[in-house]
Amino acid sequence: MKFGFGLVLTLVALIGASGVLFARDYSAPGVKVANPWTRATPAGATTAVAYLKITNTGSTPLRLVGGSTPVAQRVEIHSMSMEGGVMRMRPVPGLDIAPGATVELKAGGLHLMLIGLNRQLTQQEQVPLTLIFAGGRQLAIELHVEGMGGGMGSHGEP
Amino acid sequence: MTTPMRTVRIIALTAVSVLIALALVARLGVWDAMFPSPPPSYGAVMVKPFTLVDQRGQKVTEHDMLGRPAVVFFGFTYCPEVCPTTLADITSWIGELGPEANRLGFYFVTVDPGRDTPEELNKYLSSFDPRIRGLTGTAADIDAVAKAFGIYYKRIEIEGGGYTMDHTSSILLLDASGRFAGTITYQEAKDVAVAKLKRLAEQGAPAA
Repeated sequence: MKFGFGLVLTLVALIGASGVLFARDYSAPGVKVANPWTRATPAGATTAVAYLKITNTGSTPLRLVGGSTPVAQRVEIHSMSMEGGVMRMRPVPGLDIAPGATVELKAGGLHLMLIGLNRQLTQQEQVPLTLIFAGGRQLAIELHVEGMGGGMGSHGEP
Repeated sequence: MTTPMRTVRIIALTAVSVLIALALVARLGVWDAMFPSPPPSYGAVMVKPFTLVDQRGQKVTEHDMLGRPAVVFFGFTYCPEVCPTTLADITSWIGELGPEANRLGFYFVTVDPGRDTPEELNKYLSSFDPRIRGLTGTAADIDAVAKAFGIYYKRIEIEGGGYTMDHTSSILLLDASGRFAGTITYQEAKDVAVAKLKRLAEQGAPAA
């Protein structure tokens, strides 16, 4: 029991530490992006997913409509659902974020889909990506590339 | 005191309740949502005659799959999350199993044979444990295998070009005779998954 508690503490510390080491926050007037990350891709893979947390720090509605990255042809917003063991993904035209609200794109849910990868993504590298909001506002961020395995639940708060 | 009359009444009431519950489940489509294709039952023979080709261009039939327990996952290489994550998980489980892993066959069957040629599968699977055999074939052959395994998949066109695939994400476990022996669900805890695979490997061991 004691060992179990110690393990939990160690894990919490590790997750915290990894957040400090890797996660970067990006902000521009009215918007903040926390902990953007993606996974290393298998050889020849043509798609990748990216996750992040967006907060509308302004006083007007914010709408994410897409993105762009030098490593892929295009970036789309997709939703993912898992019902009865069946995985389904669908494009989402835009994500509305009310003033003060935070939307989390995370494993097993909403995510950015990088389509038409022109190279393999390797663990520990940083991949540039520009988020595009309605009205033409943009925010340049970098995705931290994590390992290929793991997903839902394996990433704590930064 | 429970009289015989009362017992009969209780049984009748229970039966009626069960029927009402079943009718509700059917009416609400809960069952369809949970299992888009009929759920396999333990012991059901899943491996029917088939001819597919692996990532090295070798012909694979049901005879190759039978004889030792099999771990079978259906997916596609354009899949950004579930498939690479699951293949990475299987690779880590194989590492955990050590030599015991050789008592199992590992298969990744594409639900997107149009794009997943043997060459594509070969490139993709080079990132994972080499014991994972990638299988592809004609659309009709893949469809027959998916049906036999109770796997749901559907091509979904994406506005602006391209398509994606909806598909069952669970890993199927089969015994050495090709009978359903369980599943590992997406993101199942590593120790649980490894325990299931160990049990499966033991089931497939030749009788002492």
